[in-house]
Amino acid sequence: MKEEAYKKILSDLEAEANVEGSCIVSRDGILIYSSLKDVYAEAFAAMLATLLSSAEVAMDELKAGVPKKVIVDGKNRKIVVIGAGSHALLASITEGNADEIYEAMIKAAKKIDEVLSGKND
Amino acid sequence: MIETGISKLDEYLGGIPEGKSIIFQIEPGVEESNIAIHVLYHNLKKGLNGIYIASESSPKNVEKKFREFGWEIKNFNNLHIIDGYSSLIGAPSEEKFVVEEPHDIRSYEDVIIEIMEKVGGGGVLVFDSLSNIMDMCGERETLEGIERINRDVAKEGYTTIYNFISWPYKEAILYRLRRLFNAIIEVRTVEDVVARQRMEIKKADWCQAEGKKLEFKIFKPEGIRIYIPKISVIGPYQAGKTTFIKSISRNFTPVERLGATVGVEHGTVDYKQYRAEIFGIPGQERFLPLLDKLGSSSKGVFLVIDSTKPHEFELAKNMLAKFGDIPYVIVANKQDLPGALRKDELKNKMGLPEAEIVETVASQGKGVYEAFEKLVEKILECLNAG
Repeated sequence: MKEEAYKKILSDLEAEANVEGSCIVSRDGILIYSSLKDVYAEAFAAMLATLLSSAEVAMDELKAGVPKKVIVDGKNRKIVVIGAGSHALLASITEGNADEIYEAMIKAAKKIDEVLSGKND
Repeated sequence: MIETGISKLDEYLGGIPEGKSIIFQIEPGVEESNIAIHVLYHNLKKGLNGIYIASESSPKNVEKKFREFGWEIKNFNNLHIIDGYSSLIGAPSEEKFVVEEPHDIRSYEDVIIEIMEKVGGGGVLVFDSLSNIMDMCGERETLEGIERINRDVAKEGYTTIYNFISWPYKEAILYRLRRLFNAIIEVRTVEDVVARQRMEIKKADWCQAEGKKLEFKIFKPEGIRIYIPKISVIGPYQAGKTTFIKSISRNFTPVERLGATVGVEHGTVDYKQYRAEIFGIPGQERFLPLLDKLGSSSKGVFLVIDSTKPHEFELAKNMLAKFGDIPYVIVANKQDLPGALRKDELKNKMGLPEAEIVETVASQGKGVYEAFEKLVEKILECLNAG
């Protein structure tokens, strides 16, 4: 089951970096898997897709290329959103430094893309 | 007629005549007991006798499975559990009906007959699971036993439900299995984006339902829901999309600034046995580039229009065109306002004579569930056509 694979990828990410929880979401906002607690994850997923797709459209208008990441910097926590292949995105929540979790997120995103596209079946 | 309690499946099958046998051929990995539990519970509630053969887990665990859905089976004195598990692991059983020789299919037959004689005819018999009993009693021997059981219980007016995990059995065994049952329903996982299960009727010898499909998810404690992972709500600015979503869904999450929607809104619709995730996409023309990105995997679309503003209909049609050929319903909103165009006028004005249009007043909740049901029907038609 893919769900087991997603669960492992996110728990590995949380073990490797200072990540509180993460969400895997389709590019158009459907929740695929979430390790976040006390969050209405389906609605959160829709917001995350809006963030990334809005950033993509904005960057496209500027002819500035594809955004590598979107960071929402809050008082207590940060949301970092990156693409995970052409069909999904990965969002992680951290209380620490957004840049420090980025590399670990990239690795996780690659694995998510492989699972989603069935490359590791 | 017996019902499964899964309304769409019952509609396809037209109910199950008494005495028929149904096998749910379930892909490994799907939690197999849940479907039979639903069918059994539905019929227990209606006062029918229920016999549950527990071969894979203890009767206590069966009770627990029911309880996960908020169902307390101790309240049903019309339920009889056959314990085929305790003797298998060498544990004492607290049940009244016990399979003494779990490696002999005749031992199961004896207990079933004993119960039917005691409680009388009419009801539902559940095998959980046939594949497990085949492993223990031998494939050929079990199938011969099943042939006898189907014959005996049919005479007593029992409908039999078999849970069967589709391990890779020999073709000869599968061939015999296909002949043994009146109906075969295949259950497998669909994982395009969101994991859910699909039922497909492979055979039903009393009706023309072969090939009919439905997609569902099992939620605890709510139970089985026909599941639609994404329906998009689109339409021009201020047509009433947010109000429409709010009126049909729970857990609605608006994204409003200064009275206008500026991001994707989300709500979950729970209506009858359906559950759908609804995504509202902002209607201002400047958000149109987002439609391509945010609407892509929708299973259906609500196009919400303000019925008093014909000058916006062209824009509305352009929005719809971005979704290609997918099921849609036009929600003709604000029917309470003076000058609101009616369904037939809208078809003409929009140049969509075949369109499904539902007149609504979303602010009062009028017509919104009619629109939902119409769209769900179209989505299921599309699934069955594909």
